[in-house]
Amino acid sequence: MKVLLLGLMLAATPGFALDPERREVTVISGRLWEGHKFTEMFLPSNAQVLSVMAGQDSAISFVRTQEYYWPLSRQVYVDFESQRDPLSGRLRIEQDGRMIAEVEQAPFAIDYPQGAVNGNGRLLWGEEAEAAHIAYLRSETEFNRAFVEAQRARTAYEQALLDAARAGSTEPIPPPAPLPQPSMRLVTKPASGYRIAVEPGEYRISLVGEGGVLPGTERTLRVIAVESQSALVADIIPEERWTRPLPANSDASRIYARAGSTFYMTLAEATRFREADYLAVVSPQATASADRDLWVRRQPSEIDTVLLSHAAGSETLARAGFKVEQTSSSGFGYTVRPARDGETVDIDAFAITVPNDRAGRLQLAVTQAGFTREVVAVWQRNGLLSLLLALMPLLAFLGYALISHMRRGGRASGADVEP
Amino acid sequence: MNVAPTPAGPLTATALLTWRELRSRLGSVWFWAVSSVTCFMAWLYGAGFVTSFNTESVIVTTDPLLAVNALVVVFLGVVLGLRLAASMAWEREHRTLEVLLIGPVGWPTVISAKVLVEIAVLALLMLIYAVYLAVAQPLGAGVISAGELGGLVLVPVFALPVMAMGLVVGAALGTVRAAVVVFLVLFGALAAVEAAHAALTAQPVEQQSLASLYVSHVLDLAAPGLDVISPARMLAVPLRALSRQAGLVPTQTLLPLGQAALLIGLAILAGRMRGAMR
Repeated sequence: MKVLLLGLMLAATPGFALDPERREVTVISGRLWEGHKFTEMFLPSNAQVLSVMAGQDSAISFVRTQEYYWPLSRQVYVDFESQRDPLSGRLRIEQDGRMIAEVEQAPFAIDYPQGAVNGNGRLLWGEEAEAAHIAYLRSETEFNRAFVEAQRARTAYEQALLDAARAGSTEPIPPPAPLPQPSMRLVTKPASGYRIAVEPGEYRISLVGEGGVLPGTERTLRVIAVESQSALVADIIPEERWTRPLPANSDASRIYARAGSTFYMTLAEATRFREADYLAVVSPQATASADRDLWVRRQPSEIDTVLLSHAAGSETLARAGFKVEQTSSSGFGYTVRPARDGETVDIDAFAITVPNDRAGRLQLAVTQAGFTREVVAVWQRNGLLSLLLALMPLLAFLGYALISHMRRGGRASGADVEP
Repeated sequence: MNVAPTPAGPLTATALLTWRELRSRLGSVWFWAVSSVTCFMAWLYGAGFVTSFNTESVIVTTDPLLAVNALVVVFLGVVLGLRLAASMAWEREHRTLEVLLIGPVGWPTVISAKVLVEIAVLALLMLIYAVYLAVAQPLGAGVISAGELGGLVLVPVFALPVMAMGLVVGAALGTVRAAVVVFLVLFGALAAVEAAHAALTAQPVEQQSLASLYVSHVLDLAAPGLDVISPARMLAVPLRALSRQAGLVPTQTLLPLGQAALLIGLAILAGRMRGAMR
């Protein structure tokens, strides 16, 4: 019994938890333009360079908070929940020792006309931000009211239909107005920040208060003229691995597929960046490669036809819905089949079947978007023949050397018998 | 009337020496064996490529030859660099260099001829390799077409700095054994640095020890300097293209060409300072 109690007590003892050392520091909290939307980020106290993209405003604020280093990810984090004290002052922007601007703190909001998912937002500042947010809340309230009223009218209509049916009445009952469609627009709640709207280049920034520059607020500001490019990208879904699509981001990506197999292709709208430019803005602590491109997928493409060309001609492929069915036994496996009417679609994609008749290469194209991808059918090779051909240079030389040697030998022996 | 023979100009002398050496190379079993080895590498790689389609139905890549091209160029760079190191040292060891330099042939001519021969050998080996890929189709029938073969145009340039490094070693040392050992040690050290840097870069930060993070940081700082002085770093460019899944572009060849030119200049200088004697 004693042993059992001791065991229970030991099991109930709390384990040692790693509680990282925290320190109060000044960090920059930002809503930065990333080419499509405003991304939320923070710049740790030990990072000296704040990178932003030119072309749109960005908003930053200086915050006193608790910062800690997390050894498992080797990154610095902040605990805004336990402390978030914004610093006040004027944002001083200098270039080459010359003051460019002093920016006052102002409320800002982000206006996404088609919703945050669809991007293309813009920053609103000052009274405009306040007014837009109030108008947005008012329109949301009006929509909610209209929606509730419309729902009530619909319920009343359905009740009236039931009553009429019970009473055997044939009087026509006018249907209610359709439910109102919600607006996709989003205007975020105004927050305080400093507006960054300067030309590409390198600057020094600091927050200036009554007593001069506030400690811990001096940073380098790098405004990048980012070379980004809108692109239509493809994801290739192999039939045997439908949850792991293979990205085919550029026209240089070729699709090598087993002859006779079927794969599925989805299209998405994306933005292409230099990886170093993009990560410096959205994730300043990440390690980026200087010579690599990055495609940031924005949303599925609306394009519903693709031109498939091959040696025999061309045909138009239509996007279709497919259903994935797991095998009923305990083993792994599934089948992909066209979705029936009313079924939830698992894959909304173009199905491409690679011909089995040595028809050569296929080309998938969306002409209006400048999109092409080459599909190469892979056949089994003639292993023995290709091995012999690999050894051919050496064998040919040895053969040539042997024949030459024999000829020289023949000539020498012929010379010996001459009188 | 006696007509004194006119000494050949430097260009003619270089061309004559190059032609003589090239004929000797083509008549040796070594050249054809190396050629077969490069083709065999493609055959082995092709076996893996085709086998992967037993379990996968689709592979997406910019060029299925990126990996094997990179390996072939590493192999040829090291082999030809080794040959250049040994060849120069052999001339000195067997006193043929002395004989050449007594005549109307200077160090620049000797070095240029050596370089041109190995460049011609490299070009011929790559040509045979390309013909093999197109004819034998080791990756499966119809997989390699003009698009895939286009990747072979720039890739040999990245072997030139290692070859030129072999020349510097050969020009500075007196025996074949010393040249071979020094070349292998030097290249091995530079390649180890490059491999360590690549391995550390590929590893996620959160999985690295503090020591490896420091080493990685030091190598990051040293990278711009290594870009200029390390031939192994140039040889690794096609391998990096593989990890980026992006083909090589012409502007990337400027650095290896510049480095090779620098090392050839250094070889001429080393040869002059060392002299023709052992």
